[in-house]
Amino acid sequence: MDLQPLKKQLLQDLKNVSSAQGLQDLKVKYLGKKGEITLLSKNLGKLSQKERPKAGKSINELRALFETKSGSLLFKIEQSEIEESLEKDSIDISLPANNLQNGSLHPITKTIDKICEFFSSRGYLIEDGPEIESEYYNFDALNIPKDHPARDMHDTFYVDVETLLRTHTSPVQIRAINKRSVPLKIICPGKVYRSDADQTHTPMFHQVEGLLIDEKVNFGNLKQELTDFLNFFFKKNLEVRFRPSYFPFTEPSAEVDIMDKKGWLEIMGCGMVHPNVLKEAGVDPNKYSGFAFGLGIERMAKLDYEMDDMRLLFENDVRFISQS
Amino acid sequence: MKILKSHLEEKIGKKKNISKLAEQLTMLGLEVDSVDSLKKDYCIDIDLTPNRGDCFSVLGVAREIAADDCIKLKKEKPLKVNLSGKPITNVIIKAYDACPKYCYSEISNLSLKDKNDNVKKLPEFINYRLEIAGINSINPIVDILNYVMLDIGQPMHAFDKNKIDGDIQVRFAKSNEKIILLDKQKINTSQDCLLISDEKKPIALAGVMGSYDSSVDLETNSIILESAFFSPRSIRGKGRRFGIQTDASQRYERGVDFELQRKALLFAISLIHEHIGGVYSDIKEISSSKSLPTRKLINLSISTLNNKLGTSLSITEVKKILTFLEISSSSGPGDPLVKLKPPSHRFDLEIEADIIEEVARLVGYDKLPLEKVKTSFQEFSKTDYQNTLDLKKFIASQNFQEVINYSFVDDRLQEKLGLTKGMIKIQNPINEKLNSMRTSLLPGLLNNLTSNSKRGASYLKIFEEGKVFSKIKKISELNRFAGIIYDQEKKKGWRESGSYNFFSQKEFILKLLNFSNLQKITLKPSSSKLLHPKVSADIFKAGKKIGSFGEIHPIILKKANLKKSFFYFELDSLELFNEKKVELIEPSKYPQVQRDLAFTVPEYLIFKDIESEIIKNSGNNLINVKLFDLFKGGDLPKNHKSLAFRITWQSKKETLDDLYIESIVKEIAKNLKDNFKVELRG
Repeated sequence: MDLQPLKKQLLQDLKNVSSAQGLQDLKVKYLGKKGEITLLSKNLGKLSQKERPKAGKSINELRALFETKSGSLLFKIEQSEIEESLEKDSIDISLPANNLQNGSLHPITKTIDKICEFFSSRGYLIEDGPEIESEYYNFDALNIPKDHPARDMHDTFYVDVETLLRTHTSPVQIRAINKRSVPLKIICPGKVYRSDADQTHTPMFHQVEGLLIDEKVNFGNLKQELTDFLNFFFKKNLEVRFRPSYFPFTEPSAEVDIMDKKGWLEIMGCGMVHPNVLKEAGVDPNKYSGFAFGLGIERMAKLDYEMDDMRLLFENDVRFISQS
Repeated sequence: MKILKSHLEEKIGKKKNISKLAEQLTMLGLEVDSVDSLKKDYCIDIDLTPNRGDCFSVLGVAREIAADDCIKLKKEKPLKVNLSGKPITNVIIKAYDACPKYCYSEISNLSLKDKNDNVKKLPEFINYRLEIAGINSINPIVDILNYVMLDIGQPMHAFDKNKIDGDIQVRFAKSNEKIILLDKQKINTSQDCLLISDEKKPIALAGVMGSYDSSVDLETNSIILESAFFSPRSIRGKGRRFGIQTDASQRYERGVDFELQRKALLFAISLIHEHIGGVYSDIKEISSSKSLPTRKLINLSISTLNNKLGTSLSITEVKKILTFLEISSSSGPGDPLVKLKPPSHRFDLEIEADIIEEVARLVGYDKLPLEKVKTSFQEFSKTDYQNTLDLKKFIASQNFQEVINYSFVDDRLQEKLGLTKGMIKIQNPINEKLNSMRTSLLPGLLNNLTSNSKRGASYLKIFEEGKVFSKIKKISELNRFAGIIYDQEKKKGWRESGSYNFFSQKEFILKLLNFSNLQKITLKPSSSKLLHPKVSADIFKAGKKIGSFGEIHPIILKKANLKKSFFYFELDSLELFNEKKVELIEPSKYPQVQRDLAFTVPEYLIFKDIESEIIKNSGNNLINVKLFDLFKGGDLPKNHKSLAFRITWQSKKETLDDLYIESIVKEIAKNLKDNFKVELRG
């Protein structure tokens, strides 16, 4: 039996078809109940036993050929039909989205978070403390007795004779030791108040206080920790300088400077916790030692965001603060 | 303190490179604020820390440089003036603790003017050094005394002997004793003020300023020169109390070398002798050795020092450093402790840590080795800081801009807004607009709204997290979250219109509470005086009010001079930090069944009551009840509304059959009718 003419016709038909419906019609024409291939199969019985297997095989091959060819053709047809329909869905994607009002955190919050992120990763707990403080915690417990000249460095707002707005976050040192006992690693971001206002001073500003107390803590630890921190914060290898300074609650005390475009820039104060402060908080200074540091957030924000006037941070012009 | 480089070099006895000198001073802890280049010299401005009273003179600064350079300062030249005869005036000290030592001498036959009636001139270098230090020229006597103070650090005073009645006393003031000071300020002293007085009147507020009436003038011909040691404690705070800070008081309250008085007096006399003239009495010193400061022995353990600094200094190295600082040391061979005695000019060395700092300073902070921290394990716990930050980030993600306002506001604004309950006033505010602690976050946010809308903002969503303060019996500080939603944009964009309303805000608040793991809350009409009574709600958590939200009260709007309304919320921060134990439940495999039911409801009934009644009668398999339609008018009876609910059920054990659902629907309808006169529609 010669199937070549039929095969040739079948391939020609498939070549001419261009729609899913046309393909379906072809399927009926060849494989339907009265389809040409179906009829050939039905007529197999009429052949001799010798011819039958060979003819059967040829018919099956032809059927398989049709099915494979029509299957891939169907896929192609469907694909091009979908592509045509896509065109109808076309929109102008350059039209604006609705309601594009963004929210963001205040630059101060972001700066505090950047600082806290570093110290959290080193295991410091983030503490909090009252903003209206007693003279005891703000001064006396920190080795700054009444009439001490160091009190002149703090232009203090008073609420009553013995109560004030904290002038630094250092009171949290004592409160944290009392609350948690040693060894201890804490930092405390927060608002502080001093009666001072110009381009670089606002009567309220923010500080972060850090305190680490353990056995065998030394000055080298302080230098390493703060150097690492400053490199993290400014994302580069900074030239960092520690120089002697004075805080009544640390001994030795130091200021930390970083090398800026214009020269050395004072960035934070620090030191080894004064034995009197440890004693006042009930910690044995012979067994434990520690370091403490404090830094001004506005100053860090100013450097990080390359801005000049600190007062802008609290004017809350949304156009300004939403940039961070 | 401003000093000349040449003056400092004269004391040290060698020349210095200016930039190296400035760097050296700064690294010693004498921070150089600025260096001004002059014609032939440099003016060095040193920012002294309050502990270093000993450096409050050119000599003091020179001592530091010398110690750092390991050299010894040369001795001052001996005096060549004839002193003869006891002073006529007696000085009696009645308060030795406050004034342990008082040296004085009398000078007579003085004339501050020359033959031509011109005021005698001091050498140019003295005038220039004083001018650079910012010390005004008064007259040759006072100028010399100021120069001695600048040069070696001893504050001195001269009284016009002819203006003094009888003997002098050093004593504490009687109550309400008045004195007119040199600057003509009249002050009322109190009993803790140390005075110098004659037999009739006070002639100086000791260590701070002399009286006007006893002062030296150009006609003065005899004087009493005072060079005293007043204890820092007796001087501290006095200047500040009367708003006077003098060069003398600043030095006395930090501590003046108590072995310097006689030397300073001799120095002053020699300068007066050289440039003015006069006849000099002997120097008389009245003192009580037991009241003078003592320099207690400090035990230093070299191993403690090395442990604290991370160094490995030898005992010899440490002793060498201390010797140049004039700290004497003694220790037997093999003795682990060195006994140290600080010099009389150092008031800041009392304990071992102070000595360790001295060694660190002289070694150089920069030379101390860095070392990784090795600390004990500390248990982690999430604190309010992290919770607050999480919530701030959530609110910002809902398009709010965070603001930070001062914690103090204008008390008149708080009064206007009715926010004065427990208001705390600041006794010494920086200005009247910042004179009271905020009792709510509203005043600050209102200011932000006003200023931003003045700049043209017609849309503003801002929030703040911070403390509010009040005092009712005792002071309390509460952390709050608050925010303003101001939306006056008629058309939001090319696709959407419709303005912000109570339900937009309610959606936000509920999302926020959900973020805070607070699902079980109740809303009630708000009692807040800040909010519109009909368009606001209070939020309750287990019966406790934790905040409010809604439209601002029209009265507040009027008081704040605002024309257009806005929405406001204020919530207690701490109530928003909740831990939630979560159990993940596998959803049911059986199909859900839904029914839509609409009811005719009298206008006065609220949604919540109807919803509760539905839930109550919906059986165990209820999944949720959702309001999907609300309308009034149409064919509804007067004063009625239609509420349409989609109710969904699902069982964990079986497919629910229609009969079961029908029976529930009947139960719902019956109860609503019986209890609320609410009819099922259709």
